Amino acid sequence: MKRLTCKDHLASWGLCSLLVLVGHCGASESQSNGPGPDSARAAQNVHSITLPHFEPDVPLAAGRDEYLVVCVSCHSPRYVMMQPFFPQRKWEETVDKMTKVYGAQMDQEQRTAIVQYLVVTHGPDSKRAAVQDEDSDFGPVVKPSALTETAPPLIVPSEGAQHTKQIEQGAELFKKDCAGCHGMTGRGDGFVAPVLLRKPKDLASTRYSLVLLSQVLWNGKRGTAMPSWRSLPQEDLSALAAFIQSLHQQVDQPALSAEGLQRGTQVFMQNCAPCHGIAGDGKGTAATALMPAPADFRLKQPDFEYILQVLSNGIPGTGMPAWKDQIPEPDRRALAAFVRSLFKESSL
Amino acid sequence: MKTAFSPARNAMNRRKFMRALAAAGAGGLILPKVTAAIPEMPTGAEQLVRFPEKTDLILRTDRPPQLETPLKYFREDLTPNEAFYVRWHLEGIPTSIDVEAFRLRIEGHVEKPLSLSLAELRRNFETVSVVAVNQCSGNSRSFFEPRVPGGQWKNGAMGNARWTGVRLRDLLDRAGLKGGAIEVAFNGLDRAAMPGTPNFVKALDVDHARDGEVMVAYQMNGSELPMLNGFPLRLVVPGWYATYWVKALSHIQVLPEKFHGFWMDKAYRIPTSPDGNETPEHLAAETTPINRMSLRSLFVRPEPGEQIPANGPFEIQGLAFDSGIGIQGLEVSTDAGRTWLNAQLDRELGKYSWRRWRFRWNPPSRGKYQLQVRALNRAGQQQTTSLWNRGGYMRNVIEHTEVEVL
Repeated sequence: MKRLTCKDHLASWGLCSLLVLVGHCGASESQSNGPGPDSARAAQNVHSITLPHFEPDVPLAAGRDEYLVVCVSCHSPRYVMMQPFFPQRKWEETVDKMTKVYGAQMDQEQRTAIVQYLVVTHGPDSKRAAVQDEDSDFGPVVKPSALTETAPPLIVPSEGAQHTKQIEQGAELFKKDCAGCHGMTGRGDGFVAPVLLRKPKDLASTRYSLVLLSQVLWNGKRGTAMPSWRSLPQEDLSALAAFIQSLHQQVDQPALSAEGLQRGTQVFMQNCAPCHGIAGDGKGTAATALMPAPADFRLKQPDFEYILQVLSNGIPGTGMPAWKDQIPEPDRRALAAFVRSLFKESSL
Repeated sequence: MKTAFSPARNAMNRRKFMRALAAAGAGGLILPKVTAAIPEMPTGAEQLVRFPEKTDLILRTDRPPQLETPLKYFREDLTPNEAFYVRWHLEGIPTSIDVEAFRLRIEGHVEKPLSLSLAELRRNFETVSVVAVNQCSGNSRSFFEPRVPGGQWKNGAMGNARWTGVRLRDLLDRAGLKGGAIEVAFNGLDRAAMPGTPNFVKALDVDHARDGEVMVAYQMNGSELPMLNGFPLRLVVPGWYATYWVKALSHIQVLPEKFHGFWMDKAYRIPTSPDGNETPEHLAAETTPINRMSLRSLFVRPEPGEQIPANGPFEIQGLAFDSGIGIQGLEVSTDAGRTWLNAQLDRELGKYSWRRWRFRWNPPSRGKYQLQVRALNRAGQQQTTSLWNRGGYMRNVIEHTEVEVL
């Protein structure tokens, strides 16, 4: 049997989606040749369920960021919580198994941090460790995350043949590594998407700066299933960034009057700044308690319509609530325009 | 004693968060939902959750789902579909199936590859039914000592159902096996999240696949399969552990050689010793893919912690099964294994079904008792008192349960 690779899966999944689409549009009459109780079901073409979420949060301790970035892509933190309290050697074995056998992406530094985290929170001495730490607000020896600092810059030419080639290369990588969650066209609708509480980003709805893409590709996105891809060569990361940027189509966004922008500023300062920061940099006073962290609007510029949608509905699984009952529609439009104005072209 | 998940810790986090919000000092601030910021306490108590098309089941983990059947559902011969346990391996589990567009492909070393719609499958092949136990290889893993990693099941990663579908043999014969077919591999619609994760594919020897008992089922207990139990099709391998019962089965590949894949070559393997036993100090050098289910018997009542009234008889209940040889006898001890008495076996629903049993007990006095149960099958096999292997598979030891008569 031909050894199936992930690319094959994605290709066949793509084909399958197409078939589903064709079947759905083309089916005009139902075939009810099944036994009694099934005929009713057969009349409906598509049988779907929506998975509920019981995803727990995880205790604070050193290594938590690395654990969240690397491990939660494939399974709930609950999978670890249900395990017995194992000694360090057993956790090392288990973490190595995840890398070697299941293809988890992590470097040596992350491996060490994750093992340390598992031993502290789920090792033989985890109770003692917690007691020692009773007086501290934020858990045992929380070290500042090393993960959000050192993303190397990506190199993406703004145009030309080399840029085109880079986008093509990025598209291939994207299909292989990203489409499972983000979908073949980056719309956030990959086959894994239905099971994730924090939905994969719709990459076509936002203009991303290279600065942000390098940070997220390098570090993963804490509190979401987005893992770190720092094990990929720098050239591949750059190609991925080029491709992701190419997914966004510039569309005309509604222009707003100076008064509109002023109103947007007011609404932002009153409602959004506590989390997103006065400068819109995601560093509001409440931001430290939130995971995933609030968006930094200097580094990404969501489309107007996308912002309106988020303001109406919130983002499930994050701290972003729905605002449609709190902020009237004209104010939401003003706010959307203001948020877009925060983007720094220089970060591109 | 406080743990890393203690309420005090949570309170502190909340305090800190509230301080942070207060410091924000914004008038008319609306508190965002911050469920993500406040750690939950795993208390050891079992949490019941309800997934689509399922009743309240014990949450082992939520993604991919592992849901255990509460013991009370085993007081019936057949386990209701909504109460049947759930266990998936890969993150991308199917949640939506177009029943018109779905195709089961049968390919590989065959004369005529087939691509069958669900309607064709039902219309063009003889319908067959079997009552069979489906038991996770790791059922009861949490009782292993020393403990082993993996899904921490108690005894509820199993169920007994009437499976209806078509014989795998009929499908393979329609496709026409070419000479030299060795194995048949089975793949479902589940997909891994990460490119490096091995796809979940299982394989059976071609003679086993053509034995006329292995089935592609489209119904359990007279209804369609719940999505989480493998809608629209599931492989049924009577007498074998559930790892082979591939869910959302979509692709059958006939091979002219042995199948090699992670889930056969590296995972779900047991020591080659007859009972699958090894010790942590002396791990077996040779392993083989897990296969037929071991003989086992279990208590259903009393449930752990259930109190028994001193006045009047109490009916102890349970079930027993093996890989299809058949239960010959069932003995219960109410004195920690010193003496044994025969229990009464319920009717047999087929050789792959479990067989329920009951034992009328008049406790001689108030106090604590240790109950034990052991089965004997028609091949003369008996249960043993201890079993350990690194995978936490095939637990089938003589079960104990402690009860208090009040």
